[in-house]
Amino acid sequence: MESTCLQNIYQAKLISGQVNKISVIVISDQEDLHADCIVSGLMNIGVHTIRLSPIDDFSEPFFLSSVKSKLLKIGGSKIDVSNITGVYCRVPLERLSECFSPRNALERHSIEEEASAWLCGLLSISGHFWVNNPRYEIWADNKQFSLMIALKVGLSVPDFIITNSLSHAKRFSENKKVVIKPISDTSLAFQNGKFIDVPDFESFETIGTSLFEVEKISPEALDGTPFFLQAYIERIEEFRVTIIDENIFVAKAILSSNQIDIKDVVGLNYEKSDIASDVKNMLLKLMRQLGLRFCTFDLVIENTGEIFLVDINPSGNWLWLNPLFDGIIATEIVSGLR
Amino acid sequence: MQQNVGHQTKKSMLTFFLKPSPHLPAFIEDEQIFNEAHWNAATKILETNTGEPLWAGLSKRPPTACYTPGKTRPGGYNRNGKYLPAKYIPGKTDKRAGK
Repeated sequence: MESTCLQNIYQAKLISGQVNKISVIVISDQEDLHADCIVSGLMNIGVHTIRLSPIDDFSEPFFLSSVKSKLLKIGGSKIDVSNITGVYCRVPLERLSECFSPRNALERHSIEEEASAWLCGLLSISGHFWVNNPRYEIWADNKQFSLMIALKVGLSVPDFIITNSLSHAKRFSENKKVVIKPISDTSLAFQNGKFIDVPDFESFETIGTSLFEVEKISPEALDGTPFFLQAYIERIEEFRVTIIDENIFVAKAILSSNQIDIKDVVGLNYEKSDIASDVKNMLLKLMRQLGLRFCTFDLVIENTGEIFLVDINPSGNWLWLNPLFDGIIATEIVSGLR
Repeated sequence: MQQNVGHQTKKSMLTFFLKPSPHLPAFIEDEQIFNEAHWNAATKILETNTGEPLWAGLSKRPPTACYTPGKTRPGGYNRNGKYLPAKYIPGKTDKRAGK
């Protein structure tokens, strides 16, 4: 029903000459179901959609020409770059090398470097068309950076430190519960007695948010890598807030256990909810300062009633919440791209 | 007496706080579902064997976790009919499952 409505609006705009034939580029790998959902939504309303899959599409011919009216051709699709109204990007363009597994130096040069450079060239498409602009997303993904901006816009953030000193960590964790988290999106797994970056389908240990317990540490085995500690908030409620442009979707976790990190709870359910309007306004302000059009946030309320921002995910998942909001999250993303 | 620890045995603070991933069964189940799905070149999405969009079926799930293990994609023909050899796809902290 939503898509029919959008289709009517789009057709009306086409007829009235308000829009030309528009095109949207979706950049994601072929197994990204979030992108699938958006592609379906765009195609249902007749928007010309090009799906570019960096790890799948380099076997197909493509070219970008400045001579022929800035024509971009990928596979069988041709578009005039000036008709692009939106780019939905679900891969980090400037970290594409992580998606490839080159066999030798020549392949690394040919694929990683050159292909990444060509895709980064797409950033010449106007910045506000991107959901999200990958450059801004990389910055926003940095906890230290984005939490400091959050503090500036007035949001409450649990106290945190970044250090490589055990004594500082001990001082910070005196008389209070503290959690340790990765600063970046780094992945690491411990499987079959060794550290690896790619575990297979056997049980493995990994990093996440954990309670910082000094007795677990062997001080003499510590290297100088920095780490992130944050005061643990005894939550009474936890929210997942998804924002696309000015549209805010709030879901509350139905908590049934005392897990430090609710991502460790298998089969967690959510219900529709709401948060104070001043917090919503601060989140919108934060997004504007970070240059994001889409972002998800994790917020917790402690027993004093204060609400804290505990995590910012500029590329956070939303598809699992989409049915809870009757598909409107996807509709708003589609709407923002055309 | 202080223990002598060589540089190679030193590690970052985070590694003292590794925890078992509780989402392995979900990864394995997802893998089976993806293996049974196919790419539809016309709709530009993955579909089930019955022609339903895969996203519609899976979107009712709560998030799993941040990390998806690596896997080998079997060889086969792409949407243009060109044969592509089998390819190893590294594990990733991805955007599909669970942030």
